[in-house]
Amino acid sequence: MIKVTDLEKYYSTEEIKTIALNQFSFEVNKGEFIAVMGPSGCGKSTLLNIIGLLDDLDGGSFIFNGEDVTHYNERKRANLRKHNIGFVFQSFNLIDQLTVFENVELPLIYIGMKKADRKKRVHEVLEKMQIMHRRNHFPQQLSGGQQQRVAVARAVVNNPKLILADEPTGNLDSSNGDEVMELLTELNDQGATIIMVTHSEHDAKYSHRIVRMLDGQKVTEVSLV
Amino acid sequence: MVLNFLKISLRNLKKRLPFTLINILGLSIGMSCFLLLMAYTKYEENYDDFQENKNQLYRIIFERYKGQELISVSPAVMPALGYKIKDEILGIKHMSRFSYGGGIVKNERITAEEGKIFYADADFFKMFSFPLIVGNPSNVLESPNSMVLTKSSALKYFGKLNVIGKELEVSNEFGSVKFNITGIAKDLPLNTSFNFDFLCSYNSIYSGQGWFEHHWMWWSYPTIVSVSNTRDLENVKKQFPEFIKKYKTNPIEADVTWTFDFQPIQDIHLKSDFRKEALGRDSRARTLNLLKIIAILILVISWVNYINLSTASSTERAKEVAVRKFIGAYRSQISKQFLFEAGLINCMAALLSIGILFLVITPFSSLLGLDYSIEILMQPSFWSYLLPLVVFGIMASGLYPAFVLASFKPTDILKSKTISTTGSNTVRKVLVGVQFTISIILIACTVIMMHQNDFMKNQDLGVDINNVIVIKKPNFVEKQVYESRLNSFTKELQKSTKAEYVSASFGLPSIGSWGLAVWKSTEDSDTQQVHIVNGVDANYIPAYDLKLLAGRNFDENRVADESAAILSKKSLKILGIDNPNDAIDIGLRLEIFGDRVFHVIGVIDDYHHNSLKTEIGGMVLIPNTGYWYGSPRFFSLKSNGGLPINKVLEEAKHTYDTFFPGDLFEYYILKDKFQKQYVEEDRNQSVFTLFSVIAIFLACIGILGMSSFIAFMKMRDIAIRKVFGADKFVILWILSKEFLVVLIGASCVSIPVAIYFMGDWLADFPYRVSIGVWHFTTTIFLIVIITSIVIGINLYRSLSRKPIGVLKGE
Ligand SMILES: Nc1ncnc2c1ncn2[C@@H]1O[C@H](COP(=O)(O)OP(=O)(O)O)[C@@H](O)[C@H]1O
Ligand SMILES: [Mg+2]
Repeated sequence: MIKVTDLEKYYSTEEIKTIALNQFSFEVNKGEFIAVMGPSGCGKSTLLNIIGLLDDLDGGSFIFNGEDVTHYNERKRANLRKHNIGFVFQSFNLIDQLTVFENVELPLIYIGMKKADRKKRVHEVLEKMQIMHRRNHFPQQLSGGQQQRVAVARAVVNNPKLILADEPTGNLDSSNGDEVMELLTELNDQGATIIMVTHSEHDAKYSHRIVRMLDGQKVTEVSLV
Repeated sequence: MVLNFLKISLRNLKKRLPFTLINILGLSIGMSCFLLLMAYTKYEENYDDFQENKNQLYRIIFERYKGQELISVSPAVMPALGYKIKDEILGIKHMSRFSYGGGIVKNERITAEEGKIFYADADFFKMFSFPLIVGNPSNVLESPNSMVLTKSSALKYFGKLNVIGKELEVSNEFGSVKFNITGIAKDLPLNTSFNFDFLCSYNSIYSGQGWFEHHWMWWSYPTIVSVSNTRDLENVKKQFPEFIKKYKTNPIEADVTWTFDFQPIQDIHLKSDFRKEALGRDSRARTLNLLKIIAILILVISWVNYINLSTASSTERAKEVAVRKFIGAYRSQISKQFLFEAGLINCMAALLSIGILFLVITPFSSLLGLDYSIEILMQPSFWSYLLPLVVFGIMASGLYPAFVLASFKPTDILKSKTISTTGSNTVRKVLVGVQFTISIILIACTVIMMHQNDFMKNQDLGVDINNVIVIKKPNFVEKQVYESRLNSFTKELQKSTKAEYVSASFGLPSIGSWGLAVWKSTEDSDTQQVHIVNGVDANYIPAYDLKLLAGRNFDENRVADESAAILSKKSLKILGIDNPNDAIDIGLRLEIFGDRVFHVIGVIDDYHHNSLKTEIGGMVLIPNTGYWYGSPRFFSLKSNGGLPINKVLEEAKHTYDTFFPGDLFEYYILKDKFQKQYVEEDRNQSVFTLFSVIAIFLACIGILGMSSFIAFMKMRDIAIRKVFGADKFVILWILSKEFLVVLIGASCVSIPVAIYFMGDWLADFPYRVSIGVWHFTTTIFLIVIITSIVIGINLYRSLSRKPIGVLKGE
């Protein structure tokens, strides 16, 4: 499903040029659950951003679903993103001005779904995430675990083929964290491909394959199945 | 989508309510100012736009040249011209004089002073679109002593409209005449240069007197003609050289060339810059242009505010933008959302500004001394400004923030709490700089204006106008009776009011007198130059404390003093006499006094007879009796504080009523009257002060935005500094430095602009202050104080936050 070859990404700030990704290559098959691990600053988030089509690359190539997306412009990327990819972040990144329902509904608006269909779909997902009773609350009124469930709901509401999670449990205690991991596993069982960045060996155990990084490069790849 | 926009926008606006309110308030203030000033200037520019024949009506302008040099321009012409032009010039359709009368109007019920009495010819109502309620437009002004009055005037004097055939007595320079009412006009729109309350038939003036109809050397009668079309006008102009040749026969004018010009009547109101303007008021075009500039500047400030506040709050919105983007929103969708919000705020502001306008229109028009107020909001053109203003406002204020916000990179934002938008910070500095610049210009102009006005009002005039009450002469008493009682009235007035002096004179400070040509009797009349000639009595010089430099005052007991004259120093200079003592006993001749020679008995020091807006001219005092053409018009009561002012007035009225029973007792305080000459300056000053205050207020909002933004950007920085023990005030200084840079930049731009504008403005005043450094230090000091307060409060608040909270990202 995903094939990146010799990915390069640089950040130049004033005089210092940082190499965030250095000749990074790997492949992800459909239905896989990948954990990406490595010390802080090694380029994990950068990798995720590139795969999520949020950032462009400085070298290498990127095949997504059989399409070469290396040179896609912003509009094309946005289009691909809204139909295929869901994001979950460490800091949840819910929009404070919108209710739980509206936050989850947002991706459906951008793909142009009809209002009645949207409502049905959002309710379905909220139900599944067991957050239905909170649908009219605003994010600040929820606990961290609940917020992350909403974020996951938002990530999956448009049935994305790929879910990208950047330290999804980083801001949660262990029981809330496990809950989120269960959720991701369940989604994976239903066919979603997942790439997750994590610092926790415990969480990584939920995945099929662990990719370890250092200084923008892949160090090892360990299969758990 | 739109509904979704609306929902989210409304919620956003509600969530950041203080921000929203400040934004709407700022915008609506800017819009109100703009709309108000534009509507007002439009109203002024549209004078007589409602006249159906506006393109065919012209006022005749009279110009005299000596060689190439223009020696006089007059919007009023000689009485004879009007009589001849219709018969002798082909293409003139109608002709009417519109000549000012003024005076006192009286019937059995009411006696009152009226300003808007005019004299017009029979064609008047055929030319102008002033509908009559009663009367036939083609002949209401045909016979002598007929009068048309407006509906309100009819109601004022008679309490009813059924007044045809009734009489009103008018007393003014043409005598005391009973007019027969022949018509009633609908009340006039206020924006016309032909604004009358009473319109008398022109042939009532010097009715049937041939000398008047053939007078070619006295230009005092504004004359309007109508032509069928512009081609006719060219034909009319071609006939003039012949016409002039025929009538310019007076040998005095032999080496002078006459020309007549045609001024479209719509230009009368604003484009008349003649010394002798008889219709309408002074030219206000310059003031209007100034107001338009202010209107635009204030609007710009308020838009800048919106931009500033929106991009400042964008830091709060950044996360929202990022989230929307990774979910797959297109950049254009995000821009639209922000534009939509701008639209919403602009519309709300527009609505609010309409409310504000209806609230402030009355105070505004009284500030500007206008006769009208709500009318200007009722013009269609006013409403037609609104839509473009809102649309343009949305573009001007919404596009940039929308662009900035939509261009945030989601990956950058989600990584850290703050965003580095150095680029937009520069833009923000420039924007606040623009606001500072405008504010400094307006405030500096105001400061200089205030200084000049203060200077003019408090300058030593060389004449003592304090404690003087002026009583006007009676109106309805026969000339002979008045003159016979004059002396005893003056004496009695002094006795009853215990005044120090009572002086009867033709003119007095702030009230003109005749401007007459004066020359030495030993010389040719060629040397004549115009001096102010005032008819006074022996009390005039002591009452006004004028300083005698040589010779003596008039003496009532010397018969020879009936043809004595006292000159001012400036008159001496004009006549070419250096030493005051040399002037004593020389003979003078005065225009209109025929062969009579006045002998100089004294010389007084120069003083400001008029406001400091006019240069001191030559002044000749002659006795108000004997050969004087006009009887004294005023009695100046100089009190020494013996009686309180109300007592003085009471006694004066009592004396007046016994001497001139049934007449209208009118008085004023001279000092007030004198200062009223600065009414235009006072008005400009008020307007500038008002709009400077508004500008600085709006700029404060901008500064608020910028300081919040800076505080936000440096929050972490500051928090860390504080953890390591930095003093609050050191930090405050670090933050304020940015404003200092902006302020210095703004000063560099605005000071030269202000110097240029005010230099130009001051150049009109013969007596003026010079622009000094302190005008600008005051201005900048003021701005520094105001902004420090705003920034101080705002930053102090955000600095007081606990550093740990900030670092933890709360
Ligand atoms: N926007 C940026 N500007 C400059 N350097 C960046 C930026 N984003 C990431 N980096 C640098 O790139 C490297 C990789 O960052 P990141 O992918 O966020 O690491 P991780 O997520 O593994 O902690 C780091 O050295 C980081 O400092
Ligand atoms: Mg990371």
